[in-house]
Formats: sequence, C-alpha cells, structure tokens
Amino acid sequence: MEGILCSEEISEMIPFGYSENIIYFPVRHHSPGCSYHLQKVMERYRPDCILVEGPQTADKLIPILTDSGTVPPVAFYYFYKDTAKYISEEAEDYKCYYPFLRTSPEYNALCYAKAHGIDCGFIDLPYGDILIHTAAEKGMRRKEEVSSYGDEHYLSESRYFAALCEKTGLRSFEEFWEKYFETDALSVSTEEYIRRMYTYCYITRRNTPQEEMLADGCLVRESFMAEQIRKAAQRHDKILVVTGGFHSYGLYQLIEGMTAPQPHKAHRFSEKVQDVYAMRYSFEAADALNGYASGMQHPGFYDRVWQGVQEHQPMDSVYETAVMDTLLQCAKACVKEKLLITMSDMASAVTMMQGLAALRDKKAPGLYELFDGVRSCFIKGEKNAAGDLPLRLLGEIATGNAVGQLCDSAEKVPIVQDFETLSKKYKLKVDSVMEQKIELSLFAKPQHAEISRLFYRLGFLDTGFARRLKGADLIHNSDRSRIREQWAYKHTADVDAALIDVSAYGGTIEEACTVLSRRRLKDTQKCSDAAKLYVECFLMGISVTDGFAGQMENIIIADGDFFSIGQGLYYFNMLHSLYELYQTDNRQADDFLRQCFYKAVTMLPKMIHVNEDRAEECIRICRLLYSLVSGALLKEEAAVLQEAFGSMIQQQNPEPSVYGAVLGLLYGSDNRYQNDIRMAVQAYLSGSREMQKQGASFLRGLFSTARDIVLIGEEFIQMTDRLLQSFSMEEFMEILPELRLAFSYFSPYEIDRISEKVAGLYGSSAEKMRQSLTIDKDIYTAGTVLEREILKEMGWNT
Amino acid sequence: MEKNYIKPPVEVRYQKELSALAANDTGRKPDNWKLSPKAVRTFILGTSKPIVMPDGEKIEIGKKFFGNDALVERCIITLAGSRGLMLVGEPGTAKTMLSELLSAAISGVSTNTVQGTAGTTEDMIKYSWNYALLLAKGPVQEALVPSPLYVGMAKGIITRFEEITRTPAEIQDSLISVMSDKVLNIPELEEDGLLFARPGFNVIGTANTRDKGVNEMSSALKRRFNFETVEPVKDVRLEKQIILNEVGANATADKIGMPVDTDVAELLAMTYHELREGISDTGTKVEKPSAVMSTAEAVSVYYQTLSNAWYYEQSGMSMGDLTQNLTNAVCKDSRDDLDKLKAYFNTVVKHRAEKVGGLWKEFYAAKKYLK
Repeated sequence: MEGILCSEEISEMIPFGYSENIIYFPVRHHSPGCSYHLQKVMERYRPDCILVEGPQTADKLIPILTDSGTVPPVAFYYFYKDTAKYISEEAEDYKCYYPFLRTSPEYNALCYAKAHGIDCGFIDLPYGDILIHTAAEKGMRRKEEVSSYGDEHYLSESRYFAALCEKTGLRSFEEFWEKYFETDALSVSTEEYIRRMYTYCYITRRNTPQEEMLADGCLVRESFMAEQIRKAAQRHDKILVVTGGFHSYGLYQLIEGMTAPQPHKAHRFSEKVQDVYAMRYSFEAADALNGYASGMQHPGFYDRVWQGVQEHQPMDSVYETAVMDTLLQCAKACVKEKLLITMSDMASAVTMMQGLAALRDKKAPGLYELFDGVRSCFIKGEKNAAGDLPLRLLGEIATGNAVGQLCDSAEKVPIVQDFETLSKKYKLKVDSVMEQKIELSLFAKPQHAEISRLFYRLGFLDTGFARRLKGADLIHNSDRSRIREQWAYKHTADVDAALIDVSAYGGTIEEACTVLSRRRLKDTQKCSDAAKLYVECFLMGISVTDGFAGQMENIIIADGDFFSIGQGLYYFNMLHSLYELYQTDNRQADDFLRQCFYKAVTMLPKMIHVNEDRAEECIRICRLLYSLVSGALLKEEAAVLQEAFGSMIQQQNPEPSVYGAVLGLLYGSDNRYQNDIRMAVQAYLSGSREMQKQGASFLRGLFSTARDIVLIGEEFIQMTDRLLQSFSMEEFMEILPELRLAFSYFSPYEIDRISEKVAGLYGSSAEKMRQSLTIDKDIYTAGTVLEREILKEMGWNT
Repeated sequence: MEKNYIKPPVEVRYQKELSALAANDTGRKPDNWKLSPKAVRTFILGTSKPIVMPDGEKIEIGKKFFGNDALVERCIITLAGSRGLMLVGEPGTAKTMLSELLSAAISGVSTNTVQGTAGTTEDMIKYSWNYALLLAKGPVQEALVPSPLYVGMAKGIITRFEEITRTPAEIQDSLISVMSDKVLNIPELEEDGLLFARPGFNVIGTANTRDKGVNEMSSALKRRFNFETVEPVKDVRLEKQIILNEVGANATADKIGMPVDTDVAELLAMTYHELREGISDTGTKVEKPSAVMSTAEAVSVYYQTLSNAWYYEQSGMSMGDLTQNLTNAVCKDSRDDLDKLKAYFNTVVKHRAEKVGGLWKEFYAAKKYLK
C-alpha cells in the first residue's frame, strides 16, 4: 500500500464496530467494492434502521425503487422551481438526477432494508433547500450539461489526491480509486476497507477549506442529516448510515457534539415547486453523468464485476473474469468491424494486463490494464482517430448499453409530464384527435414566441407533433419577411413514445433538446452542419454552445471545406442581423462569425483556382466577406481581407469569373484597381481564342461585384465592344449565355444607360434605336398567343 | 570517457544510475535482463528517493522520459514478453531516446542498432560474409559477419531497429521468422546453421508516421509487434523545461558561453504548444500547421537562434532571428503553413503583445519576417 493510506491514528477517529449504535458506512456512488463490504456489514450488523444520503423528498419513491419490477439503471429526477426567488432574482428552474445502478451501495442498502423489513429513508435536505444553501456556481449550482445529486468532486478533485497521483504515478482519480478501493476490495477485510475509506476521506476533508464546504452547502446538509440520525436514534438501537465517504467524519463529529451544527431553515414547497420522479435510466447516461465527478465511470464493466460477486465467484478471480470477458467482447466487436484480432493478440493482451498489474503492484488487472492491453496489442499501427477503433469499442463495452425499467406503479415520465404541463399552459388542444391550426405572432406576443419554440423543440425531438405551414424559414432562407407563423399540430400516441424515448436525455423537453443538440454538435464535422444546428437551436430558444463553444470552434478550425465555412458565414451573419428583431444575446454567434471569417480568409487565396462549377458559390462567399468588413463587427479586418484578395489576383491561371469578381471587390474598396481591371480586360482581349472566350466569364464575375465600372466613362464600354467584335457569330452564340448572365446584374435603368453609351459609340442614340425597332403586327400577335398558351400550360392565370 | 564523444551512449551517460539500480534491485527479472522491470521503470521515470550506495554516495535517478508513464510501463512489459516493441509517432517525440533508454536498462547496451534506410538489404539485417575469409576458408562461422540482429539473438540482448518503415517492406519481412520462431537460419553453415535466440533477445523498432508510416508494413510483421504511439509533450511547463535542458546541454557541449534565456524558452514553448494544439491559453482557436511541431524542433529553433547570437556576437537573442528560424522550421512542407503562422501572429501574438508586451511585443514586431 506504499503507506499512503495507512494512518492508524486517523482511522481511529471514527470508531467502527458491530457493537456501536451507529455505523457510518462511507461509500462512493456505484462502487461495487463499497457495495460488497456494505452487504457484509449489513449481514453482520443486522441494523434495525438504514439511513441513506439523498433528499428526503424521495422517500415516497423507495417502494418503486425496490420493487421487484424495477430494474436498474433507474434515476430519481428532482426539480425545484425558484419562483419565490430564494436562490436568485432570475427565478430559475433547477433539476438534477440521482442514478441507481446494481452496483450502487445506496440501492443495495435500500433493497436490503426492504427484504428484511427494516426502517429506511433518505436523510438529506430537500433539493430546493440544498440549492438555497448553496452559493452561485458551487456544488449543485455548478452549471453543467446535466446536474447530478451525487457530487463527488471533493474526492476526485482534492489537492491531496493530486499529490497522491504524482507520488503513485497513477494517471487519474479513477485509476487511483480502482487500485485502492476496487481491485483490492475483494481481498481485504471489511474493517481494513472501511479504515482505508475513512483515512482517504478524512485527509481529503482536512484538505478542503471550511469556506468551500460552507459555500456549496455541505455543512448545512450535514447538519440536517445529523438531525435525522439523531431523531432515528431515539427510536432505533442499531442504525446504519450510508453516505458519501466525505460526509462520514462530518456526521460523526456532529452526532458526538464535537462540532456545532449549521443553522438552516427548511422550506415547505408545493409539489408544483419541488418534486421528484423515478425514471428509466441507462448506463450511457450514468457514464456521462459520472464524467462530472458523480460516481464511477464505465458502469458496464463494474456491473460485470458485481455480477461476479453476486454469483459467488472466488473473490481473487472476480476481476480477472470480468477483464477477460470484456476483452473477449472487445475482440468480437473488433472482428465484427473487420479488424483482424487473433488468438495471439488476445494472449499478448492478457500477458500485458497481468504484467502491468504486477508492475503496478495491483492485486489483479483492472479496467486500466484492460485499456492498456488493448491499446498495445489490438492497435496495429499508429493510435490516431482512425486507428483507435479497438479503444473506442472497448470504451463502449465498458460503458454498457443497458437501459433500466420501472415497475408499473411508477409515476409518469417527467418529460411527458413537462409536455402536458406546457400544452396546458399554452392552451394547446392536445385531447383532440383532429389536427389543430394555430397562428403565432412571434414579435407581438411573447407567449406566441414560446409556443413557436416549443414546436421547434418537439420537431427537433422527432415527435411529429407539429409542422409549420407558413412563416419565415431561416434554414432555407425563404419567406424571411414573414413575422407570423402558422402551424398545424396533433397529439398522437407516437408523440408520447418519442418523448419517452428521449426521456433519458432530460426531464424536460428543453433539457432533452439541449443534451441532444450538444451531442449532435459533438458528432458534427462540417461547419455548415454545425451552423445549421446553431440556427435550429436559435429557433428552439436554447443554446447549443453554452459552455461548449470550444466544440463549435474546433469544427470551424478543422473544416477544410471553403464552401462549408461559407455556409457557416451565411448562417451566423443571418443570426447577427436577426438579433435585434428577436432581442437575444448575439455575442457567441458573433464570435463564430469572426472565426468563420478568419478561416475563410485563410483559405481564400486558393479559391482563385476553384472549379468552374462552384465559381458562382465562391463569388457569393467573396461578396459576403466583403459585405462583412463593411459592417461594424468586422470593420477592422478590411485590410486582412484586402490582403487575401490581393494574394488571389496575383496567382497564375485564375478562374476567370472569380478573378473578375475579386478584382471588382478590390476596386470597390480602392479605385486604383481600375487600372488592374483595364489591364485584365486587355489581357483577355489580346489573348488566345480560348482566353478571349474566358473574357465573358471574367465580365460576369466583374459585373457581379462592380457593375458601376461600366457606367463610368466610355473606356470600359469600348473595351467590351472590342472584345465582342473579335468573335465570329458562332463564337458569339457560344458565349451569349455567359454574357446574358453578366448583364443580368444590371438594373433596367443601368441597362438603359449602357444602351445609350453603346448607341453613342455607333453614332446613334437610344431614341433613334427605339424608333427603328418596328415589329411586324402578325409576329407580335403570334408571340402573344404563344405566351398565353405557355402560361396556361404552366398553370398560371394571365 | 564521456568527454571524447559528441553524444555518449546512454549506458555510458547514466552508468552510475544503472549500477546503483542494479546493486539495489530486488525485483523479479526476466532471463538475461540486467534490471527487473520495476528497476527499468525507475531508471526511465525516475524516483524522488535517491539510492544510497554503500560508500554513502547518493545517486539521484532523474526522470528521462516525460509525458506518459503508462506508455513506458507498457513498453517494459511488452519487451518482457514474446512480441517486439514498435514505437511510432511524429518526428521529434523522443522515440529513439526511449528505445535507447530501454535497451540500456534491460540489456546494458543501447548501440546494437540497425538503421533502416531505403537501401537496407536483408544481409544488413541478418548476416553477411567477410569475402576474403569466405574465399579462403569457405562458409564457416569465422567468415560470418554478424548483424546487430544476429548479435542480439546470440547474446540475448535488445536489437534496436531505427526507422524500420524506411526499409522496403519485403526486407522488413525478413524479421518475421526471427520474431515468431526466435531462430535464424544460416543455410551456408549447414548443420551449424541454426542460431537460436537466447532469452533476453527482443526487437525495438521505431517508425516515423510522417514519412512512410506503418501502413505499408505487412500485417504478418505487424502481428509480431505491440505498437505504442509516442505523442508530443502536452504540458507547456514541461516543454519549456525540456527546451532549457536540451539547449543548455548542447550549448555546453559546443562551448557556447551565452546563457539560455528562460523567457525566450517560454515564448517558444508556448508558441509550439499553441500551434500544435490549435488553441491559445485564452481559448483562441488557431489553425494547426501541417509541419511537425515537436519539442525537438523547438529546441532546434532555439539553438539555431542562440548560435547565431553567439557567433555573430550579438548582445542577446534576436526575435527577428527566432522568427526567421521558426518560419523555416514550420514552413517546410506546405505554403499553407506560412498562412497559418501569419494567422497565429495576427491573432494570438498580436493580442499577447498588446496585453503582456515585453518579449511578445518584440516577437510580434518580427512578423515582417514571415515570408
């Protein structure tokens, strides 16, 4: 044990013995090691009361949790609505999960109590009171993707632990825990195990400042828990207190009168303000939650270990069996993915795991040796994003994919309840089997905006509840001027089923959307997709990137597709222009807009050689970039963009239309480029036949960004005229579509002015031209009839 | 002895540490290993407790490989087994150093090495002949010129195969039978023609992922190795320390009397770290250049700048020189990298120059050399 957890002096500070009136059993959430020794203690101590750490409000759910029809993983879903503003002026809603797995000591303690008819209950403050006694951004008020009741950050983030890791050469708290409290657990006596737990938790506590414990509500909670223990002690002789190890010493001191309790005031809240539900949970969700220091990670693997314990396998082989089983599963999964894993690889991995366990002084190979074995022996080549498939598969297997089940008597799933509550609040007719229609004035009535968001959210969750009939379509950039939306909605059984399917992602529709959108963002690689998702979230009124901005930035940075970045620019710019209308905070999207801008500018020089098929799109992005530096947000970057444009026009063999467009944009910011344009036109004029034809594309590009150049002076018209004169009729017909397109950028008035100039060039005038244009009456009549027929055929009424 | 070499072998450089560890080694040793796996680990990863020798001398065992202790442990266990060890990674990630340390600690010798090149032939890997003796005496043991692999098998020591992937794939495959059967067939020696490997023999290969990588290696040969990917150091403080240590050692060896500037080392470590990771300390995302951004490259950039300052008798390190050397180091493979470096200067360096000033301001002023 390297002497790190061997302080006799400390362990004696909390007496442990089967003759004690109270046993403080220290646990870590989901730890099979703790569960194993807890069961031993329960069998030997035979308590007549078991008290478990957890908000008292969940007592009513104990029969559901311990029902034979309930199969973990399940979770308690707590919520508290701060309508009375006890916490802050924002009157926010709060929620958290308390998952129970088969390996959870708390779950096993409650099941034992039920099986033996023993009194049991939760002893912590109700969830709302915990929050009220917690400072902002501390404890359960820390803003995370999903909140958990069982916060263990004291254990895993303490300074003591950091020093321990350095001393023992272990990589993480999880590895440290496994070595000293899991693989070792099955071979040490219960007394020794508890002594180690007390020691570790005591030292951790000693290294945690009192102010910190006060700020996150720990001391108030302990005072409340001690009060419950005292009350129970008046009725029972043998009480088993099952709490997080960090609290054991605090509770002991309070009960023994060694410290003064913290004053606290418990509030009485209605069920509308504060309540708790039981819900199905999954290993995957528990693992994600455990990422926030809320219990052991990789629950699937430790469930396998626990199964070994339950099956009464020899204790010295439980871990070896679990590790071997998991390795075998991983090998099978690899083979399924067409990775060649041989028996020799398996044997080598086993040797590696055993060797590492010996080198690291571990009783048996555990999860970390398993990962090391697979890393060394299954990955053939470099470990990179493509090569680490075996590790990813192992990660999935170790996490597990089990989904729990609730007994029939359990209450409704919170997310379904949320849907019903919101439907009632917005007076949506969800009892009808007929499709309903509703018109929403987004900017006139705040509640209509909320309903719109709800519809978008339900659409995002694939419930099929509502569809938009009319309204602005921000995704496809159509009907942007509409300020009203028309929706059709219908409540079917499929809506509930879809909500239950996503219930593991959140207790409310908003939360599920947040979690799912963040997941989707995580899986997204293209900036265009990520930006589209951002717009979807904007419509849903949630922030996909709150706290996850880095992910979006990574996507932008990693995306090598100029057009995808361009699409991102378009979306973020659109949001930038909409913020005033929607009255939302725009800082984050503006940051992404900037990122996209920088990225696009970096890629710009190469785009001068873009394929002809995508030239139009490229020009569109160049124009967008140009318009961005004209706006207030990116005004200061004008020089950077100009430098990039300058670098584009200096390259050989440019795509003519992009070349023209960029020159036009440069001319827009600095009219000295007029000379460059003149030289470019002359170069096309004096070039080979092929080059002359490219001249038409050049003009198209140029006119798309700087059509005013034609209207200034006569020179440009003359040059264009010379270019056109150099073509034979056949060649002219060939480039005509391109020219038509080029001149389509001009307004009718401008076309008129150009015509005037052209006429002047040939000694005529617009007036004369018009007079000379007489059309035969028969041809005109035939044309009118033909046009009418075509319109009729197309279904247009004239 | 050490003074006569530009770079003394590891077993010479750390002779005292190896002897002290051997004298105090109580762990279980695989056959023919000089040290137990635990002692090998201590040699490479260091220990805070010095070893006290019988004469009272305290021998400090320093950490020699930074960044991934678990990788070192896996390497040691691999070498104790029947598979070879293949260290792969970008250039400059200390693969060779790690293989030297492992060989020196396990076999007491780190110089039993085959250097893989495009011109490496099978006889360089297995054995060749002294043609004068061959003509005089025929194919006898005496006329055989053993390769490092042959020596490794015969003596039961580690053979290092540097840059194995630069060797043509069919030549690499000559290792397959040796790695799987642990026997080398020398048909010319007839009944004496089988060399059985002694315990302790194993192969450490290194492969650079930037050049040919391991993709062209036959899967038959891949199966004979456990692969370990050595990644660049991720901790800026550690990287700064490595730069200071390495540049200091090189400067001493080359008798450069200029002190190593800690602030410049920090600036360079920060620059390399941020360009490699694609993010600045304040969270600004930057584009990663495609060039290798290893610590070894940072050391080289620093050392070049230092040499320049020393031999051209400048008063101190010039940020202009540093920037030019950095540009040359970063913009080797692709012109795009220059744009990325410029973008880094325009965002992160500019911001830091405004906020922190000092050296960063000078660094930003040297932006003009980015071309």
